[in-house]
Parts: sequence; C-alpha cells; structure tokens
Amino acid sequence: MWAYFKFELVQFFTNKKNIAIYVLLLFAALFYAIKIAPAYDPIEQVDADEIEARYLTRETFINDMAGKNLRFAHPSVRLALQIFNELNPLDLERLEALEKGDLQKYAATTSDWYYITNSYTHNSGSLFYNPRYYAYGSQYADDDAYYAYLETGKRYEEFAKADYELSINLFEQRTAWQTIERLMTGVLPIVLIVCALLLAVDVVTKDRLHPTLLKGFPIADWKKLLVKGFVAFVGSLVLFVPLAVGFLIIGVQFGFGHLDIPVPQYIVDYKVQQKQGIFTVISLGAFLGQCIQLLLLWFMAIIAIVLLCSVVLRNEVINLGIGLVIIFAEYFYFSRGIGFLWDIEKYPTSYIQIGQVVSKIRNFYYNSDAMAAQLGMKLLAIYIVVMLVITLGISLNKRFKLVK
Amino acid sequence: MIELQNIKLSFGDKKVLNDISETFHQGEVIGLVAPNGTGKSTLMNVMMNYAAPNSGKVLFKNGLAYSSKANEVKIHQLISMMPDQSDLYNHLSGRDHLKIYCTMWKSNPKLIDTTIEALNMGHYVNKKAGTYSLGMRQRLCFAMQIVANTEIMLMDEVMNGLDPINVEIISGMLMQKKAEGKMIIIASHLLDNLEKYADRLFLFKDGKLMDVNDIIEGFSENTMTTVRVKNMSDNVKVAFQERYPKLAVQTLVNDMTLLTLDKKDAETLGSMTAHLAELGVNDFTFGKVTLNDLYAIYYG
Repeated sequence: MWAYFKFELVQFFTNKKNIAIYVLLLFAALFYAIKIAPAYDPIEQVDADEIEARYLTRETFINDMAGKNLRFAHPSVRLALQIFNELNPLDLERLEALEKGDLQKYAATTSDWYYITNSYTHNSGSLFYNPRYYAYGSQYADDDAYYAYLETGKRYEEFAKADYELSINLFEQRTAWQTIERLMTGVLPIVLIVCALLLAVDVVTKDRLHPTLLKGFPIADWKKLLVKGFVAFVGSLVLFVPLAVGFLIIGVQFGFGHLDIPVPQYIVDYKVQQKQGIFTVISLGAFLGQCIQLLLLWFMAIIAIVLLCSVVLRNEVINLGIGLVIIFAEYFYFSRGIGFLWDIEKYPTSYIQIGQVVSKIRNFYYNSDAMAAQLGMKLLAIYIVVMLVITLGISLNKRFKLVK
Repeated sequence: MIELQNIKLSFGDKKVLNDISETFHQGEVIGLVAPNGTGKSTLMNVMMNYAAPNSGKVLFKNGLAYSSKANEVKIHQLISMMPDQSDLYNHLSGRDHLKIYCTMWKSNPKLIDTTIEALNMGHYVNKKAGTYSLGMRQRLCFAMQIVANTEIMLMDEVMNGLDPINVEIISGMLMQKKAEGKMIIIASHLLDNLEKYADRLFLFKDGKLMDVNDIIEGFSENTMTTVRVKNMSDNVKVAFQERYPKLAVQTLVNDMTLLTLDKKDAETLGSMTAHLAELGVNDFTFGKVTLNDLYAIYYG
C-alpha cells in the first residue's frame, strides 16, 4: 500500500493539470498580496480627517444653537443636538488619542462611538449608517450596517482591553492573520474547495490512459481508492503553500498580527443577546482553527463524491459538474431569513461559507438559531462516511473493475 | 500452475473462447498462435480476470480462483501481464517504470540493474519514456515484467518492434526465466522464434485451444516427414499424386507445397525425391512441418 501511495503521489504531483492549479493559485496569491491587499479600503477605517471634519461641522452646529430657545425648533434639531452633544466629545477624544498615539484609548472611545451611533441609527427611519453601506442593489444595507457597527464596536471593545501592541493596521484588519480572517469570511474557502475538486477530479479516471500498466497491480481496488483519496487530500493540503507565500508578503507589508486578536462571533440565542449584546468574541486562533476543520472536511467531502462518481460514472467532466453543483448548491436556496422557514442547517451544503459559518454571520443572514460550525462538521463527517461506504461497497463487488 | 476449466466467453453472438480446458505448469513456456482477433489476448485477459468468462473458471496453485476481490489480489501477486507500450507514462523514465513494478510486487531491487544490463537498456533507461523508439518501449515493457518477477508471466506480442538482436536477447531471457521455474505464456506472431523456445504450442480456432501435437501427430518431435516444394505446378502435383495416392499434398498460401508422410519412412522419402527429380523439380527441402507451415495450413 505504501508503494502504491508513493506511486500515486508522484502521479499527482507530476500531473500537468495539478501543477497548473498550484501555479495559478500562487499567481493569485501574489497578485492579492501585492496589488489587492494594499488597496483594501474598509468601510470602517481609522480616518482622522473624516472624524475631524464631522467633529468640526457638528461643533459649529452646537455652537450656533448655543443659547437659542429651542422650544419651537424642529424636533430633528433637538435630536441632532442631543446626538452631537453625545458623540462630539467622543470624536474629540478619538482625535486626541490618535494625535497622542494612545491607541488603547482610541479603541475604548471608538467602541463607545459605534455603540451610541448604532443606538440612534438602528431602526430610526431618518438616520443612516455610513453611506458606503447603501450601495446599489444592497437590499439589506441597514441590516448589514447594523451588524457591522456592533461587530466593529465589539472588536474595539476588546482592543481596548488588549495586553499586546495595537496598531492602525490591526484596527483596520490589514495584518496577515486578519487578512486570512477576512478572506475566510469571503471567497477563499470556495476557491480552495474548487481547487481541491479540480485536483481530485481525475484522480481515478486518469488510470484509463494506462490500463495494462495499472490493472494488474496486486492491491485491492478499495485500497487503491482509499490511497487515491488520501493522495488527493494531501494534494489539497499543499494548496496552502502558495497561500503561505501571499501571507508572508502581506505580513512583511502590514505586520503579521497574532492569533490572540479578537474575532466577534454573533450570538444566536435571543435571550443571551438580551443580556450580553449580539456579539461574543473568540480568538483569531480559535476562529481559524474551526475554519480549517470545516475546510478540511469539505476537502474530504469533495474527494469522497469524486471517488463515488468515478467508480459509478467514470467521467471526470461529470465529476467536475457534480462537484461544482455541490459546492454552489447553497446559491440555489440561499435567501435572507429563509432559515426561519426551512431547516437549512440540516443541509451540509449550507456550510460552504466557512468563515461566515464560524463567525455566525450566516446565522444572522439566514435568521437561523440552529446553524453551527460543529453541526456542519458532524453533517459533513456523516456525508463523507456515507459516500466512502457506498464507494468501497461498490469496489468490493467481485465484478467491479477500477480500471477497464 | 494454471488450470483453465471449461472457459467460455462470447461477445454478442461470437464465441471467442469456446469451452477451453487446459493446464499449464511451472517451468513451461507456452506459445499461443492465432491470427489477430481470434482470442489470444482475451484468454490472457481471462487469466488475469480483466475479462470475466461467461462460464468456467481459472484455478491457480492451492486452488486459488477469482472468487473474491481478496483472492484476485493474491493471484495478482503470482501472475502478471506485460504492459502495452502505449500505456507507458511518457513523463517518467524507464528506471521509474521499473521501480514502480519492483515496488508493487515487492521484488528484489537488484533485479532493476541486472535487467537493465541484460537487456542493454543502460543508454536510455534514465531518459523519459516519451523519447523512446518502439523497440525501446517494448524492451522496457518486457523489463518491467521481468522486474516484477512473478511466478507466471503473460506476454502478448512480446517481440513486437524488436530487431533480430533484441529478439535473441529476449529469447535468451525467456529461457533463463523458464530455467528459474517461471511459467511463461506468450502470444506471438514470430512463429520461428516461438517454435524455438516454446515447450507447448497452441493454435486458436473457433474459440478452441488446439495443441499442435493434436493437429499434427509428433509435431514437437524432430522427425523428417515432410518434403517442402516451392512453386510446385499443378501438372507436377497431379503426376505426383498419381504416383503416391496416399500421400498428403497441401499447397499453402505462400505457394509452398507440403508433401507429408504420416510417419517417418526413409525409403518412401528417397523414392519421392527421386520422382521429384524425374519431374524436373529440384527446389525442395526435407524436414518437419514448421509452425509457419502449420499456421498457413490452419489459417490459410
């Protein structure tokens, strides 16, 4: 079996298609690290000019209104004065903290600023969050901004308690580890899972090009399939190597950050929300740990379906098609709030947005209490076992031929 | 040992293997001879369990049969089939291929270098197989099976694309393997060569496996029973048959006419040659019926 593993491993890593995938991923990682990451423009950023402009405008308004009889003023004027009087001291403190380089104080004040701003804005009907949330077609801009403000507030609240060195890059999530966190809640998991699918797609069917050389090997078909699956899994792990290059480049530019950085996690239990707010925090290390577990299970799940399709349908294009349908299946039923009506947490395909599942923003989107990374892992594990049992069962049939 | 028990296999209406029963033993070289598409490769595929017979079974030592996947693995440790040269990995070197077969069958790694030397492959074995000529690829395929070193070796068209020197080298290695107690089953169209080293020869006809000794009695014995006449005219044939009415006269597709006695008879042979000379025929030879002759008789 060891000999067959070595043989398959050599085949896998000398396969031109597989080499092309690694090279393309390396180019993508380099492009991201050199061009896209430096141009990252977060909505919630540390912008002293913006704070100052807002502060001065509001201060002028406060000064203009000072000493005036507001009895007959429009209610919005009184509301504006109330808000500005509450927020302007915070903005001033933020500016002073930035000027002095006291980032801990900046974090504490900014956290308050976000909470207070949100308390006035949420469901107000007349006030709005940062205008950048209201992009064209953004149907749920208010909800997204509400989530983002409270999440950012929680993040700054934790930064205020930090016993490690703070930086603007850390606040704006530009460090290497935080970039991984951002990517994990974005497209990276799907990119990696699609890459794993592309790597695995011909792991069985490629043998048909060398039938007389391979089919006499004194090793059982089920063992061959397990070895092929394991090799595809090892090959999928190697996908992290090109990413590591990008990680290092980002780290050199913006610092690496560290794994104790807080990551807000949405609280799904309404009763707990009443007591604690809508966010708790986990460390970035714990966040990435759960992401990696889910990601590796997804690799295995995709490889398992490829193995099954390979022994049943024997065509890599069909393998690719079925794999893509599974990866993108969630797009067919995803709809904001649908979790309230459907048990979407019971579908393994609901756990494809790995970072969003772990941060639980997916629960927020789906309006689902039951969706959880651990449940996703269990479902994927069951799915993998079922796929493998069926595949190995087929391969144990006396009439089955792995290579025809 | 391989025992074929009533092997039947049909593709549609065509009976490719029709109730074949035969036993082959260790230390034997078995030659399978037939035109293309008559079932030689199919029989080998059945022996390897690449093709399942409609009925019958293949038995190996200790009664092993392809009754389960586990047994198949055990049998494939005993038997190997020479790979087809078109199936080689073009991006791997010849030595890589040999290592694969050596490690898969857990044979002695020293066999790799000794085989490379014996087959004179040293000058190309470290280059990628994609750069090899037909003959080089064929030698590599043969070497792979030698390196696997299984007890039973099946070789389909082993001499394809080889020059006469390499045919001799491989023939020598086959004899060596036979001496080591290996059973070698060869399908080949190089009939003269096959006849030299095969212990038993079989022809295929209508899905049946026919031992040449059953077709022509004493084929394997070196008895002179045949006069072979090149381009014998019809008049001479008629005149000859009038004189020897009991003699078998058969003209092959290559215009070779065989005048065959049913047993060794020096006196009759002498008179036949004298009569041929009287008829003005001087281009003839004595000997036994060769495999080439038999092939032409049987399939011509």
